[in-house]
This record gives sequence, structure tokens and C-alpha cells, in this order.
Amino acid sequence: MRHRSLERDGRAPFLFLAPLFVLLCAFILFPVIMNMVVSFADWKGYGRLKWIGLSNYRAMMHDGAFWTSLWNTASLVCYIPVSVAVTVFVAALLREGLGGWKVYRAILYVPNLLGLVIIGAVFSIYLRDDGPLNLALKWATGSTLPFLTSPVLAINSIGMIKVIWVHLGFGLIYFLAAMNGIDQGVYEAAIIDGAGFFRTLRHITVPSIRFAIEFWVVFNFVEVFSRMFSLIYTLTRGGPAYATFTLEYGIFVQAFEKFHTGYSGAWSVVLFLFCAVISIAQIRLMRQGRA
Amino acid sequence: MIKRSILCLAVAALCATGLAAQTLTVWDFKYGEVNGAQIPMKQIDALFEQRHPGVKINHVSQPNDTYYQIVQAAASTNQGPDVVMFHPGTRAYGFGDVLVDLDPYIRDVRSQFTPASIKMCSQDGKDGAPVKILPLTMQGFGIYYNKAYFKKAGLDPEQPPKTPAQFLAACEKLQAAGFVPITVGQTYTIDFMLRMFAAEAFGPNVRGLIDGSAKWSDPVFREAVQFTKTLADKGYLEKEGFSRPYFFDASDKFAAGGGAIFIGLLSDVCNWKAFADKLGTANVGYFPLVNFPDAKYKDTQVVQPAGIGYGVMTWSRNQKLAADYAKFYTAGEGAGIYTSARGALSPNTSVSGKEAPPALKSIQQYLKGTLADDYITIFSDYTGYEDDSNRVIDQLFVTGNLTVDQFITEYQKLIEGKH
Amino acid sequence: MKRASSIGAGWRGLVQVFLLGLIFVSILPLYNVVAASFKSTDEFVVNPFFPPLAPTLENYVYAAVGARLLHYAVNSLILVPLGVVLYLVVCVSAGYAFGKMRFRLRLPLFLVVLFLLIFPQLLLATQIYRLISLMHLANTAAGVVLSWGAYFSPFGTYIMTTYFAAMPYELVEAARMDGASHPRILVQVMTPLAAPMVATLGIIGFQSMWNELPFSLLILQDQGSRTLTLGIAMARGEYGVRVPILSAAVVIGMVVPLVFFLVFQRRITLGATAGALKG
Repeated sequence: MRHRSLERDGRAPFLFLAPLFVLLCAFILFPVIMNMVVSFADWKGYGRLKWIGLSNYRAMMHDGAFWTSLWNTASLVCYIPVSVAVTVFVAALLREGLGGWKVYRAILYVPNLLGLVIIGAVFSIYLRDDGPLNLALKWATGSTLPFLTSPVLAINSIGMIKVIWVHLGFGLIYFLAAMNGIDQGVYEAAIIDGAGFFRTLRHITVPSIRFAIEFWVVFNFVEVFSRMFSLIYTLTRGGPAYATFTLEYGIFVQAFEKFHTGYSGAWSVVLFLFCAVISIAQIRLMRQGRA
Repeated sequence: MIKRSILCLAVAALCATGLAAQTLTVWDFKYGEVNGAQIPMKQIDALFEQRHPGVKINHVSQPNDTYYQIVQAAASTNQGPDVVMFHPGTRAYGFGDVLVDLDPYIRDVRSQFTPASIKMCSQDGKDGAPVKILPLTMQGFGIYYNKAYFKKAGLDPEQPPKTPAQFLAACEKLQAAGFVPITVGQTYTIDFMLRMFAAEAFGPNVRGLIDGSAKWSDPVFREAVQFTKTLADKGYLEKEGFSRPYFFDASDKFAAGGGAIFIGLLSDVCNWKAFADKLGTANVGYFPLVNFPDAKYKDTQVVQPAGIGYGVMTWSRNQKLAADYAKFYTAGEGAGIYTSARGALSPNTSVSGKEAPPALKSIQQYLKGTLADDYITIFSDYTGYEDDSNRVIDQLFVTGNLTVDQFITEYQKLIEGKH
Repeated sequence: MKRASSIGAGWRGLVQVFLLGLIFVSILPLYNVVAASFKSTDEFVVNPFFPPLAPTLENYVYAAVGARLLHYAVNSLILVPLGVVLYLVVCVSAGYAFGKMRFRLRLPLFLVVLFLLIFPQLLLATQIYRLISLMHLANTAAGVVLSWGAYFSPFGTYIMTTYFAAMPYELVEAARMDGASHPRILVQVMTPLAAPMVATLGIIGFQSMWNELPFSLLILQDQGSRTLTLGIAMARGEYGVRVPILSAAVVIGMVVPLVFFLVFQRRITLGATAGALKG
């Protein structure tokens, strides 16, 4: 669909964008820049600043915890495609309009209402060695799984809980709203032609919600990089033995437990770089979509 | 009581001579415990308002997780509360330039506090430096045990198992009698044990860990780590406990009779009172640690001479009143109320309690003996260090990737990264 | 009217079973929280996950009265709707500008928005507090509402941008040719058609602001002006959480967002408005 790209809208866009950018520049831009600036200093968070050039970055490169945090963050990123698949699949199922779909959607959303802190507290009970999940496992198979005390299981538990399960609730709301725009007529024509669920999913639903799937991938990246903290803090505190210590968690620990605000700034610059990559990728996709 | 002070407030406000109502803002990380610390604190605040007509206390609770971040934020804007609660020690020393020097205000009460607590509350923990905080409690760790279970397992409840051999034998008997020998909470249990053993190995030279005159490779400490590992391997340190939070699930479990031994605190939580209230005061036994044969400092009680306390901030416009408030809590009528309500210990020697129950009596006895500092308090990033330490402990006791010697090496590395 | 389904009749039963399974897993934590809220602390030690044997209301009493949660709930009920109004206005208009308007700086500015989106909240908190203090907005509704607006808007803008961008340009074109101005188009044409996504936006905005912690913690210093979420955070003492009391607090905290959600989710239907878009 070709737009008349030469047509400009004059001053109007800036009026529409003014509220957003006034807020952003006043409140967000300055702290972000400050963070980058202090990464070149040794600072407690208040008081005197001591410029130390690239020392923080050099220390970071040699810090085992830093590389572990990248690895852990990458592990969580692997859950993103799974989240896309699961969420789209369940949304498509609900969209079929089978009896009670609205109730399902509402109930699946409830975990989002609880907030990450209480979810962390609840799962810390569920996943314990003597918790209900292990009780059930013991009854079924005779042995238990150390969800919270095994490094591999711990990070995967975090991934499953947040990226798949918590996001599912919001994802259903979002995707069902996005699928709203799909013409029912095309759908019915396909059914008459004998197409089954997976056919319509592949050829009608998914192409129509391409923008939504792109959004969902970016959303998940954002969540994995910057919004895991509450859950990790409540459930595992970055353990066992650094297994759930992500980049974001490391930034927190440096800045607020150890008061090495400058050092934490260096870690957050690395986070920026990832943000920048993701943002640019998204813009590229948007550009392609215009063609 | 509050109504009366509000009446006084109104009357005072009507006076033209500037007897204006004063509000004192206090920040606290304990006040949020609605059925815990808040109860005695409300009492004490009301009492203070009574004694100082025209004064209103605005006691604000802050969440513990981000407490120092919030204080930092206040410091960066140079405004905020008049009185702030701190953990005396390096966490508070960092705020030294915004804390008021309390020496002129405490001349009358200074001698009531133990010298160790005054030292810890002075800037940088130095003798003769200005006192910045008044200590409300002192803290430490010790071993609590259920006397009834001991009796049932055929052990003498009045003779705690103080040597490694006795301790192992006791655990075996307890296990055979069907009791969980040691109730565990995450890796905190191990962490606290190691802090006890550090006190036993290094005694007064705990600070040597910083300058290198004391090292974790010390044979007594190594023996202690090996001993702890043996306890875990034999299942005496219950395995399920490693995924159970220490605060408060493990502590509650022991108090409900879920185990025979518990590594507890001398704080205002997880203490003798928490256990005595549930198990019965005659049923709770206490001893400070297991005595290793080669240790030079047997029966040492590991303490933090000052656990929590109040400081006055430099931007306060009511510094004298704020200092009076801190004194009221730590040396006046308030101190007795708080410590007896919470079962905490005060470093103020003139705070008298009622007739002490047996468990408290044993504790007080040990407190008169050899004391050693909890080594963790000498590090500036206390919480960060605690987390790192727990992670290394994880690797030895939970995931099993380290041997005891490798653990000692890793532990040493942690110290060397901290100065 | 029965809606045609691409799922064969034979499979429907299986699908229902699968969905029921999902429901079960999702509802378990909620059940756990509600059950725990009715247990005394003592009972919780011995019975963490089965229904309470001796249900008690003491946790709710502590939470509502002792921890003043009802008082804080009123504060939240004032602050959050104000925030949501600001949020909707900012995000829908910015989303329309990015999604449907033509101007040279469109992609670079959008890049900035995306970039600021990902920034972790904790890192912003202290700086925002300083700014708010400097503006003398500490402890005010304006301070909190503006901070929330600033922090959550990038995400909301992003949602609306992608949705508006996916809507056919013909709609705007047709209206322009009729002589309509952009504000008119947005209000009278685009927003009604985007109603499901705007409703989604409202839900997300409400939820985010209701549960927000770091900014409101720093800005709302007065004990009496705190939000419900702050009150719940206080239920955690120095050493951690006593699950029964926290659960009662959380249940109280959940009621309003749940009601809000149930009201707004009705707008997100299966597409009864289909046809208007692909014309």
C-alpha cells in the first residue's frame, strides 16, 4: 500500500507530540544522560564525584559477575520465541469464540493483577523442595526437582513464570484486541473452503497481526532486560550462585546495595547498547512495513 | 494520650508568643511491622508527646529493601526527616557528613552505654570520634535448642553439646528419635554459623581480615567449615531448609516445634522471645557456639555491639528535640519498653528488665564473657557482601561445585575485593 | 448468531480441556493468596497451601486498620485515575502522530521514544526525585502524576503507534479530503475505531500506575498521602514478609484494578466492528 510520501503534515504533528516530549525531556532524558555520565566516575549516589575515566569499564570487563549476567539475560531471551508462539496460539484459540472465552481471558489475566512481588512470594512456596509442586512430583514419579536450588532450574523457572505465564495474561488482552481488526468474512470464506484451525492461523491470522507480533517481541525484550528485577529479588535474590543474576539485577546490586553508582552506570551503558540495538531493529521493521 | 497532646497543640498554637507546634519527622525501617515493632514504638511516641507538650511525632515507615537509597535521595536534596534509623557500622559511616555530632547532647547518658556500642556508633568506628548515632539494640547470633526434644531423645537438656563430637552425637540421637536435628533457612543458617566460627577463630582480631593478618585459611576456621559440611552431608542440616526463607518461615517453623536446634539471632526477631512465646519459656535453651579443640577463643559470643539506632540529620530544624527523641528511645523510658516488648537486648546497661527467663539468663551470662565482633560489620557494602557470601555458600552447600578448600579460596577472594 | 469456528467439532472438547488446564494453573496462585490471607501466622507455618482449617479475619483487620490500607486506597483512587487520563491523552495523540502523520523527524523521534522505554525504573528514581524536589512538587499529586505520565508514556505511545500504523491510511486520507483537521480525525474517526486498543491502554495504564512503587515512594513522603501499593510494601518489615498479612494486603490492593479491568475488558471484543476497516 503506497502512501504519498511527499505529503507533509506541517506543524500539526509537533502539537500532538508536545505533551509526550515535554514529559520525556523533563523527567527521563536527564536521568538517562546523568547515568551515562557518572559511569566515568566513582560516586556514592550523593556527595562528591571523582572522575576516573574508563576504570569502571575495565573493572566490568574483568568482572565474572558481569559476563554471567549477560549469559543469564541471554537465557531469558531464549524464552521470547516460546512466548510468542504460546500467546498467539492461545489467543487464536480464544478467538474462536468457544463458550466462556471471555471468562478464560479474564482469569488468565489475574496473575498480572497480583503484581510481581506477591507472585514471587507465592512461587517461592510452590517451588520449594517441600512445596506442593514437588509433593505432586514425588507422588507421581518418586523424586523431587530442586527448582530454586539448582542453577539451571532456577533461571528456567524465572523464564517460565515471567516470560511465559505472566505475559500470557496481558498477551491475550493485547492480541485479542489486535485481532479485532481481522475481517470475519475472509475467515468464514476460508472455513467454507475447508480450512482447519492451523491453516487459518498460518494464512490469515498471523499475517494480519504482524505488527502485533513485532510489538510482542519488542515488549518481551524490554521486559527481559528491564523488568525482571522484582521477581528475581523476591524469588531467588540472584542466586543460587549467580544463576539468576541478570544484567538488570547487577545494575541494582551495584547501585543500591554496594553504593557503587558509577560502576553501576557502566553496566547500564551496556544495557543501553542493547536497547539501542533493539530500538533500531524495530525502526527498520517499521520502515519495511511502509513499503 | 494523643488526644491530649493534640489539645496541647491547639492551645500552644493559639499563643502569640511563637510557642508554635513542632513536628518531628522520624524515618524508620521497623515501624512498618504492624504487629511487631510498631506496637511498642507507638507507645513510646505517645509517651514522648506527653512529656513534650506541643510536639507531634510524624513517624514514617520506609520499606527496608530500598531504605538507604531513600536516605541517599534525601541527602542529595538536603532536606527530609529529622531523625533517621540506621544500622550503626559502615553503612552509617557513609552518611557521616549529614549526621549531627551528638556528643554535646549525650553527656548525661553516655556512660550508660557499653563502650563497644559507643565506639561502633562513632564516626568510622573510632574511639574518640564524634558519636553520630544512639544505639537502640545490640545484635548477634547463637544456637537455640528445644529442651523438650532433647529430653525425649535422651540428651541432657541442661548440658548443651558444645564440642564437635558432642554436637554430632546429639544430632544423631535427635535424628534417631524422629526429630529434625537443625531447622534450616536458606543459606543464612550457614552464613550465621560461619560468622560465629569466625569469631571463635579470630577473636578480637576479626579486623585482621582486612589487613591480611587474619585469613580464612586459618586451621580452626577450616575445621569449622568442614564440620558444617559434615552436618549437611549427614542430613543433620535439613536439606529442604535450603529453599525455605530464613525470615520468617524457618524461624516460625522452629518456634512451632519443627526442629530441635536453630541458629538464631540476638536481635529483635528470631530471638529467644520469639521461641519462648511459642515453645514455653522453660523450654528454650541457648549456647553461643560449638567449641573447636584448637580454638583460642572458646565460648565466644559473637555480637554487633550496636544493632540499630537513631541519628539526627544536619538539615533538621529541631536538632535538640530530635536528639532528645533519640535519647528517649535509647536511654530513657523508651528503651525499656522497646526491648522488653521485642525481646531485644539493649547496649544500655541501665535498662532494667523484669526477672529474666532462663533462656535470656543464659544469654546475659554469655554476654558477660568473651565477646567478638561480627566480621561482616567491618565491610562497607554490607548487604552486597552478604549476598556475595551467600552465593559462595550456595556453591559449597547447595550446588556442590566447590570443595571445602576451594570454598576457603573463594571466600578469601571476597574479602580481598572489599576494603 | 453462531460464529463460525475453524476448529473441527471433534477437537472442541480437547481445546476446552486444554484451556481449563491453563485456567487451573493460573488460578492456583490466586487461590493461594486468598487462602493464605485467611490463615493466622501460626497456621500458615504448618499449613502453607491447603485451605485454612481455622479461618480468621485478623490479617484483614491488621491490613485495613493497623496498616491503614483503606486510607491509602482512597489516595490511590484519587491519584491513579488522574494519571490514567494524562496517560491516555499523551499516548493516543503521540501514537497517532507517529502512526499516521507524515513528518521528517518521525522515525528519529520514535527511536528516542523506544530507547527511553527500556530504561529500568530504579535508575531513574533518585534523579526524578531530585527534579521533583527542585520543582517544589514533592509530596504533591502533580509531582506523582507527572512522573507516572513521563515514565509510562513511552510504552503506551508504542502500543498506540503500532496499532494506528496498522490501520489503513485510506481512513485518514478520506477524512482529509473531506477537509477534516487532524485533531478532528483523531477524535471522531481513529479513536472510536481503535476502541479495543484504547481500552487495553487504559487497563495497562491503570494497572501500572496502581502498582507503581519507586517513584511514589520517594515523592510521597507524608505517611498520610501514600498509595495503597506503598502501604502494601510497608507490610514487609526489615527482614521480609509474613505471608498471611501480605496476602490480605494484596487482596485488598487487587480489588480496584480487578473491577476496573472487568469493566474495560468488555470493550475488547472479538471483532464485531469488522468490515469497517477493510472496506
